[in-house]
Amino acid sequence: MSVPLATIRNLSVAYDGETALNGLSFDIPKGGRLAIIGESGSGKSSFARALSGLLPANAALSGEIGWPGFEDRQPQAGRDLCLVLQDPATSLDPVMTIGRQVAEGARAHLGLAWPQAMAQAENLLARVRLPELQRLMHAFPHQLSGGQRQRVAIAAALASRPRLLIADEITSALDMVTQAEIVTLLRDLTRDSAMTLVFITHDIALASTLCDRCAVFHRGRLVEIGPMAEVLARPGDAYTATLIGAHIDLASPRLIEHFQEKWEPVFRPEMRQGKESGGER
Amino acid sequence: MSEPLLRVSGLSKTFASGGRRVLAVSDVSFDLPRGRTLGLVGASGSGKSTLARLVLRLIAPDAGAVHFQGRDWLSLRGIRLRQARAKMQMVFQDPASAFNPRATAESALADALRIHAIVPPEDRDAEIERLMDRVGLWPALRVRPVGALSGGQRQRLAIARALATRPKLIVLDEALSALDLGIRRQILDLLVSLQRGEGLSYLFISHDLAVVRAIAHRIAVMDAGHIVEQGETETVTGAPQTSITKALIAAVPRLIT
Repeated sequence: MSVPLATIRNLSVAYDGETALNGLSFDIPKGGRLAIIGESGSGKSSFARALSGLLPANAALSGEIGWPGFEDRQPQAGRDLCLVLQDPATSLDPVMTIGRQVAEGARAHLGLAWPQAMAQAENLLARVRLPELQRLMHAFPHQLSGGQRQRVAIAAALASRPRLLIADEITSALDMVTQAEIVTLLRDLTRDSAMTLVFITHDIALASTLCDRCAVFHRGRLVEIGPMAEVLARPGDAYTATLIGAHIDLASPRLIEHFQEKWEPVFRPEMRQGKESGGER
Repeated sequence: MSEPLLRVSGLSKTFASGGRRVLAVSDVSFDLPRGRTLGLVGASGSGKSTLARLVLRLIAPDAGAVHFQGRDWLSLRGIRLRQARAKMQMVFQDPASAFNPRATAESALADALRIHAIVPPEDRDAEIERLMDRVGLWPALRVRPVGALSGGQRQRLAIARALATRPKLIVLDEALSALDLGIRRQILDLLVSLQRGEGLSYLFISHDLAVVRAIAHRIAVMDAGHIVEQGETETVTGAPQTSITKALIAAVPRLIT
């Protein structure tokens, strides 16, 4: 049995007496992609912050996070492990160019000089498949779309070559097409890499397209953990079954009855010919 | 032939942004009959929300017409506009920003009832109770500040406030997108039940084609300001005609077991 990256033992977090996480115990294996599934109030974001050592000052932590994967030293946030959050608009510096923003991690943690760090940044921005790199290196975050900003945040996280990437709801502010692109990118970035991914989401179906293991959180507790396919096929907890049942995709039953009458009669005859099919005149 | 509740014809809107002109909505036309749902789907920046704001008259179009309940909606003024406005309500993505956070649930509903003079003052209390019951909010939540409600409760309250003015049409712009999946499903069921009970029409806007398919009778797909495809829901999702629709279909996560 290989050494896990992290061992979580009886971990609890409370904010001013309010419990957010309650007695979590599980291991994060090295490599691989672990999904943390949870709804609002499940404690999933507290877990992300506890794992990265970035809990706010009013948080009280008890229990232990061990790091056998880091030879039992405390990994440094921003270098050994990186956290990407839902809203890149707040995690990127609004007055720093994209190039410098990504280069900073490589400069600070890998000890590169600025020119080398900037060259490294350009490589990373290409790896997250951003277009027009020459222009983009000198652009500011507000000039990018939400999906592009999230790619920049991922590139900045990768700059220090972390062993652990924690992604906390990083696609939930994006539209579905962009979300699918970001998930494909994460899959490719972690496929042939030793980097471990902890992918935190409320969407169990989305997680199933990316992750090999799955931990389900509910009201601060771990309700189950196991291989993704097993959890989906045989959920060990009623709450997990509820989450799976709430999923809606293109094969789900529609919620409205099938209307026999047609909608067409209210359409003008000219709409039925050209405009309706193509939207052009 | 019966008039559709809402008829949008050739609607266009251009924004000037940093010296550039952006065609946000371009020559959009559709009909929405009574008691039906039109799903408007597209990626971020496709023009969905601008179209919603044009239909709601929150912004003015450069060209085109909107007919609501058979009237020229864009030329209504004064008392006629106020009366018609009560019949067209809206629910947005973030109910936290749609309410005064210090208002209580009941005062938010009371304002809507008072401004539009829906019921006599002495009946207002009973009407608030009826509205909260209709959307599945416990009476105990009446005195709760809106800021202390959960996301799902706030969105139910936003729907109750929309219902307060006895509307015919509710424009829902990404109204479920910020909610957990379980809550999302409950609100979808609520919308369907309200439609059946009150004969409401919905313009249901979302980037999630699976959710739109579940609730909409017809779907219009938007891209770069245009409606690129429009038709019966099963036709659009089952036999998509454009690459835009195909990409939206491919992007829906499926449970991989």
